[in-house]
Amino acid sequence: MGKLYGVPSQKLRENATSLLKEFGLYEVKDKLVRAFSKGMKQRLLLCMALINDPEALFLDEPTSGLDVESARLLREKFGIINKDGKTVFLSTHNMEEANQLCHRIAIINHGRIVAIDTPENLRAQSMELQYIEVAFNKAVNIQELSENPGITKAVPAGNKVRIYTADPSTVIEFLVEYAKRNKLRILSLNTMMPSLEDVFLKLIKGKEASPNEHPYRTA
Amino acid sequence: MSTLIEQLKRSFVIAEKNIKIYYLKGPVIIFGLVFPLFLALAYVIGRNIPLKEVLPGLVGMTTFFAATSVGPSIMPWEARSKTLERILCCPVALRTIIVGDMLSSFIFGLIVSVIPLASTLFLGIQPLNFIMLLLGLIIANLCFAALSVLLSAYPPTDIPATTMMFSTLVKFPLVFISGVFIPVEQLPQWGTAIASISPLTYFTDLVRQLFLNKGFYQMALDFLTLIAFTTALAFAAIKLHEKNLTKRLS
Repeated sequence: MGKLYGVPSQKLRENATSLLKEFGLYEVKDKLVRAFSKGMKQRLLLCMALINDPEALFLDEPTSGLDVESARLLREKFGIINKDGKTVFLSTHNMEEANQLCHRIAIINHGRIVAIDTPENLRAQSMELQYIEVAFNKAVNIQELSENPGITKAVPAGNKVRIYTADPSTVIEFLVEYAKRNKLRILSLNTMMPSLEDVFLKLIKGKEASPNEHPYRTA
Repeated sequence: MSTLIEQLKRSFVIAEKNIKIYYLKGPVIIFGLVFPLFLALAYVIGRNIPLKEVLPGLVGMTTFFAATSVGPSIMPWEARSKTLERILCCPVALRTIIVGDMLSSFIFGLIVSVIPLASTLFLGIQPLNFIMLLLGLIIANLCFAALSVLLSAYPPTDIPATTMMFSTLVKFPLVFISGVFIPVEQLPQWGTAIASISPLTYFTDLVRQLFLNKGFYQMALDFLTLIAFTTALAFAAIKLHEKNLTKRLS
């Protein structure tokens, strides 16, 4: 593969040896690839992509279908590659992976970029998606809760109630009052920021409703 | 100029890769080695004809089958295993890949076609001009290699068996109309006209002239026509592959 990039033979040998060692494949270098596991094949593909020491790397769902250990190893490597000064373009459906690894995220819907920003800024665009998860010692009337001002929506989530709000501090005060008034005990209460998955779904659904409003197009 | 040389070097890298992967594939061994061997045996055994007389047909048939056995299988196999996409991500033009595929077919054809020739020389049958024979062999192998890569261009499939079947469908009639079994000069007028559309006709005719000193066309015409066929087939192969690439990858 390196020869197709015009890498000189000596340099090619050095790069191949160091990459195989770095990705834990040196011991199996003489084995047929068809006997490799999917994780090993992905690691080998990454070695092939790095053989000519590129400045930018385009990775299409590199951890898709991998076991947890291999996926984690690859994610660590992507971080190291990025710290070495290389630009990594990562295409993925795994929002958590994008959140962990990317400095900037572009959300693409039907081939068009519908949002592009840092993970934090993307989340900040959807603050109405933040919610409070509260568990009481007794069952509560969710309908009654959701009718209070400041609460966008209240839904059951296991033994807890998930309350969506744009103003968490006011809602927390209300919940404490509500518990006192109804002789309830609050067992747990957590304020949750919207996940990237929530932001993604909001953007996709929002844009599907108004398809002519896409601000960007992919090249 | 330096870009051209760089791309040519990469064509050799592609050819090297093809040699390692495809020379030992079942269809290549069957269509490139086993098949011409048995066809040659069927052609020679039981016929009371001197070896020198059957030699042009034998060499023509072996060269043709060998040089066209590798090319048809490469593209569909590469598309199926997704390695075509990977290669196209490298700084390599599609025509560089096509030239690499042709080179690997050419080398296979050259190696196999040398076997009957070497056996003949071993048995003491000498050509009139060895250099001309070698030159003819090189041009014919290039021509057949270009044809083999063209045969893999359509349909744009990722199923090697489909391409092999289609190429067999083209190759067999060509062998029967090209003066391999019956020399062109012994064919009726309509047979001569049909034979003239096959590149194999000119190679068989060339070998007949070099071993038997008799042929239907002039030797210069055989060479020129083979060169013209090579150019046209290579050009068509590149254009058709370029046109069908998106369909093949989809």
